[in-house]
Amino acid sequence: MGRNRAAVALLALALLASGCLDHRPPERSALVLGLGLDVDPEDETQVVVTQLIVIPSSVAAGSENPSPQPGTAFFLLSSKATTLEIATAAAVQKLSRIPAYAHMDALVMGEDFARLGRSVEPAVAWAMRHPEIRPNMFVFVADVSAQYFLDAQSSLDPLPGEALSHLMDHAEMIPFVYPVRLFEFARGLASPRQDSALPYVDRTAPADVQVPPGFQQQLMVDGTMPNVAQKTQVQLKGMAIFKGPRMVGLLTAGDGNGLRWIYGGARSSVSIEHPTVPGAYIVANTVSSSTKRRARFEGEELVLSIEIRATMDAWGLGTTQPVELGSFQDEVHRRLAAAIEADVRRTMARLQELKADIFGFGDALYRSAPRDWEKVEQVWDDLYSEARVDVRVDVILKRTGFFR
Amino acid sequence: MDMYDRGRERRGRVPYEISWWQLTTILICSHLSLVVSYTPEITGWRPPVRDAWLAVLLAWIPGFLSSLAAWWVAKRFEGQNLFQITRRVYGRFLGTLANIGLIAYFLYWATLITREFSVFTASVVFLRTPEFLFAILFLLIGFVAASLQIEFIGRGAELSAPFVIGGLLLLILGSLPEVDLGMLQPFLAEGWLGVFRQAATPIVVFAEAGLVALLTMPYLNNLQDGPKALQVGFAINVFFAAATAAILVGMFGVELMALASFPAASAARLVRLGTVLERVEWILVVLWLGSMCVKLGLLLLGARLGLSSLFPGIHPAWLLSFVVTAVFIWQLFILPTLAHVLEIFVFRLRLRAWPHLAAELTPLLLAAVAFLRRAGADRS
Amino acid sequence: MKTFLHQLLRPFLRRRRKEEANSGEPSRKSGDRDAEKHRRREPADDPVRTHPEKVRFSRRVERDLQLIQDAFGHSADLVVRRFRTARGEEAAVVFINGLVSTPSISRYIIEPVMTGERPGETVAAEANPLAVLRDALTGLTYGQCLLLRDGRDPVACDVRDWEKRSVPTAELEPSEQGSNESFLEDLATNTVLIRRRLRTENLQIEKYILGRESRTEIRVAYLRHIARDELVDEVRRRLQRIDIDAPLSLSFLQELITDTPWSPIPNAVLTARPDRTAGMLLEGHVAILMDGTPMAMLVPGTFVSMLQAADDYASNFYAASFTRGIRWLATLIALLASPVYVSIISYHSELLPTRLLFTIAAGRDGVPFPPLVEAFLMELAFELLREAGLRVPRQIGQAVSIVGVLIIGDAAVRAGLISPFMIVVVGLSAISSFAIPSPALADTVRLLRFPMILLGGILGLFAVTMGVLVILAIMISARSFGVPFFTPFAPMVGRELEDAMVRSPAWRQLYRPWQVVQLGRLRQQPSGQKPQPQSSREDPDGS
Repeated sequence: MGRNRAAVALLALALLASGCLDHRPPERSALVLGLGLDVDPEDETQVVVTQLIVIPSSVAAGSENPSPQPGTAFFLLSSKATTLEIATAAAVQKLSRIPAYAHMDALVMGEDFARLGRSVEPAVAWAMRHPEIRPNMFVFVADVSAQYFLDAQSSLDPLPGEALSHLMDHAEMIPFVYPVRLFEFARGLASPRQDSALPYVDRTAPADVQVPPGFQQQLMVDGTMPNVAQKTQVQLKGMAIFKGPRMVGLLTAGDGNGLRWIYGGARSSVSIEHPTVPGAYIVANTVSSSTKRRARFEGEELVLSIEIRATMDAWGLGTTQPVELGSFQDEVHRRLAAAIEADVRRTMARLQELKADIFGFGDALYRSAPRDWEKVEQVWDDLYSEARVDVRVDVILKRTGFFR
Repeated sequence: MDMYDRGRERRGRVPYEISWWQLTTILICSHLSLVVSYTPEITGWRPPVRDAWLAVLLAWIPGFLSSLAAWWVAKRFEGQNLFQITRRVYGRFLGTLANIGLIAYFLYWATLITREFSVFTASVVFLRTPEFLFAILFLLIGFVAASLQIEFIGRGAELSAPFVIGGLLLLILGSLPEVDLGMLQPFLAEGWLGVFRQAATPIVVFAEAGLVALLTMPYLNNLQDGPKALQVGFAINVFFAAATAAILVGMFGVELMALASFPAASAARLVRLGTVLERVEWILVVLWLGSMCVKLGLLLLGARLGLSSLFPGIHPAWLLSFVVTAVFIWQLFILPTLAHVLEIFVFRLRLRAWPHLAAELTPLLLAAVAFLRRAGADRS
Repeated sequence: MKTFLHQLLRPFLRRRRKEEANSGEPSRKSGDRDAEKHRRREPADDPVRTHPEKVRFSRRVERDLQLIQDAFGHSADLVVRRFRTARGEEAAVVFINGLVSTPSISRYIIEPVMTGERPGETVAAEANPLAVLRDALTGLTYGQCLLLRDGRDPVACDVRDWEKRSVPTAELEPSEQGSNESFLEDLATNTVLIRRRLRTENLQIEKYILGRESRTEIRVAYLRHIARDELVDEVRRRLQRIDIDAPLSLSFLQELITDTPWSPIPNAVLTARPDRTAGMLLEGHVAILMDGTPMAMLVPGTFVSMLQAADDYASNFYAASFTRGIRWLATLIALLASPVYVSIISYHSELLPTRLLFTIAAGRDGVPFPPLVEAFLMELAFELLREAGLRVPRQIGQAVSIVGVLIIGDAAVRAGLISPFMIVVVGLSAISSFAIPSPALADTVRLLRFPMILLGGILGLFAVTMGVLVILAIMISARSFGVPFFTPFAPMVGRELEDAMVRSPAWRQLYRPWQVVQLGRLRQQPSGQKPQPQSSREDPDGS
């Protein structure tokens, strides 16, 4: 019996040891934090995959580890093939460690890649299927190329993916951007009643200093020029609008200012002219807001209705004059609402022009009236682009700071 | 050496006892372990019907009736286990045949579950580890559980059920921020037909409770508590199955859901508790493992008890070893890929697998025959 | 590992045991045969050596003295003093030097008999006439003085008096706010320490003599009407079937009477505190005390009772509940910190926050060992330190800990042998293992940590969970004297959960644990002893 027991123990141990196949301590893996997807400019059929691999010792915390020097936090590794999978597989031959995708923060597509659209869906499907990749990571479209974008090294957060996800944490303060996670993007791609959009990012210089003509650029103490021209910072620029798997347009500050209002949960600032003091402006910050989107038929006409309720604070009233109750306050509320409505209408007009239903009005119609949706499913795009937009905005200015 | 060990052993009675709460937790473990791995409530129809949660609310009824029948039978033949009861109801020859069928079914079911759980574990994290390894580990724990009998399974369930419930609660609450319950609209878009189609798989899954109840009910220490255990167990199962279905559809939408292999595990990957804890799917899987082992242990015990009734001369440990070995070898040859495993839950296959449901509704048949033949009524 | 396997293979083993039982208990038989062999080697014609319980005294001083001296083999510490009584009869006192008070013997035994103040009477408080040799021998070794007189039965007088410690402070289980009395090696004093806390006639103390050679006195204490009769009977039965040369310590005894001989998890509570003992007696447990051991063993022992400490009932119930929670946490950390660390590092690095992963990865860069080996090395080093610190005198212990801190804490990291995080984890688990109140449980946890680390290194969290399931399986299938070891969790006893994870206030502790108690489950009046102010008088409005 004793020998049998020993045999069972050995067998169990041997079997268990085969689990070591999955053994992968961090010092043997290359931590991929970002993935960039581009189209080869010379050959449209080739996908260029850029992996951002972190160098742990340079970003580790603790007194033993010095703070990172610029340019040492990570390196980029790119490979080229006809599909994303082949390209990532090919990258292994250039790496001394096995790539690990579990901590990836961002999937970035170059604009050309997104506009071509051919490989967007396979890329998303790959990422969703991949057992290591988090479905809640953010997805972006980058100006120029994803590779160029991933090379940015912000001063505060040296890893671009981290910088972006931190930016996304307060994206509700930016009126023309809202965050999109991988699974949300995939949901949009899979749904026949909705299109999708992705935040559009690019690189910028930390200080956009314009030297006035006739002035000499001041030198630094060591005699070098200040490094303003180097575009090391990442910035959110707008939303890339997709129609199906293909990027069809870009909404930036200006005509994209209504995006976050329609999406919901906006906390951006709105400025209006002062009702009584000429030349003065009132700037109100949104404390909270909510949005309801509906689609319905009024007779034959499709109506897209957007209802926004916002609570605002204002410190910047432009003057020291007190805020009066009554008509003055009503006027402020009316003007704030009108400003928001104007933004929303402008944005909706652009979206209708692009025939991109990124906010899922089709889905909203389906939810409230599935029969109607089935009737118009085939001609939805045209109906959508000609639909009447019905906007209602309610604004309350709650607080005006320590002055009345 | 043992004092009042091993339950109160009375002449001619099953020697172990479980409390009603233990029976409840056994029901919970045996149902929710499947919900958290494959979520058949949603994967039963492709693409899933939006009203999957409603389908769940309908699907429990046959299983519950079947379990109630099991309770009635157990009460009528108090102190005898499933295989003794079948013999008394069907008579010696037919009863033995029925027992062989039941043993085969328990074996098949245990094999299926082993395969399902090991494929699940191997697909979620340990991608490079061979699946048979997980089968061995599951069967090892199942072997221990089955060899320590129903008393141990009851206690194990008592400990595992809070974990599986807690894990599900964590999953549900953690994913609430991502959930848009508006996605559950439009209500009844595909009509009642769609709901019934969607309910087909959950009906079969819930009906498993009938056999589980038939196996465990004779051990209940106070048979009056049987319906209470069934009610509480079914209430918890139905609630969590429906809530999970609603949450998952509300999070991914039906179109994306149609693509997911392990919806609950996919959802778990989205849960993040601040920046401290992300990727909790492993913690959840760990919480869920206990209940998987309870279920497997119960099925192995079922097969073993059946064999004991056929071969009373052979020591239970050898029979159990035979059962475990048979299950292990069998599971090497069935459902070679993940796609095969997922197909199991799909309605089309379930149609072909009506014998499943028939087997699971055995308690109803047993109760009917017992009633007609007035078997067991003349107990003194 | 062996014990684990044993648990796994228990059905087979049980079967084997049954087979043995069927075939007439071969093991028992062989034991008997051995004993027979030994007996045959001894002089067969000397019943004094072989069956002292059958040898009766002859009431002749010379012959009886000869019997006793033969039995002791003329041991040097056996003192014989012959004298004549006032009536001129032959008389002698026999005692063992060092166990008795010699002044008392001369003053209260020899003097009255010699001078004949009260003919035939001694002045000793306890004096029993003896009939057989066995009683005399036992009495002598327990510090009695034997008075032999011609024509009368020998009398054993209690004059015991030997060197012993005074009641020490509880160093092993110290209490911050409660009593600090502790048991000592003297059985009589220990009994008194319990009796002083339970001044009731229901406190029953039974006496057993165990061990062929040691003749150790064992006392079994319980509260009649509270402890279940079956339980007391079972304790008696198990003690009576012990037949060894010497049960040297309570742990030794525990192994002889446990329900789960192969389980790594202790099955009875060992405590050095009389107040804890009294508390558990009140809950229907049975205490077993042993001469020469400053401990009491309380059966049945449950897992929950191992995590209770004396301070629980000496401090505020919120604080006590919190510290009890801390102890549960400590047990988990002590068992799982290193295995979970190893498995997360080796297999599930996605569970870590990204930044933390960078730091760990940077710390591990250049460490030559895989996490598994690293963890083993460090845990082993810690065990070595602990053992060394225990063995050396207290003065050198300081040096040992300094060496440990310097070499293991700092130099190993600087030398690149170990990653700094490993030190944190090992330190955490070491500290946690000290927070477990039961030393036996702490030992077990430390021991089980090693296979768990191995599992974690081999198949990550999956295997660790399987390991935990096996440990749980061992615990929930075990019983201690018929009481499920893992109660009130499995089987769940709702009413007792309250006092398991947290410590409920005194006025809420209405019931005693149901498994051990037979009568008087209620500890207080059912209306409860919750203090309430008299409301009508206090109402300030007067309405």
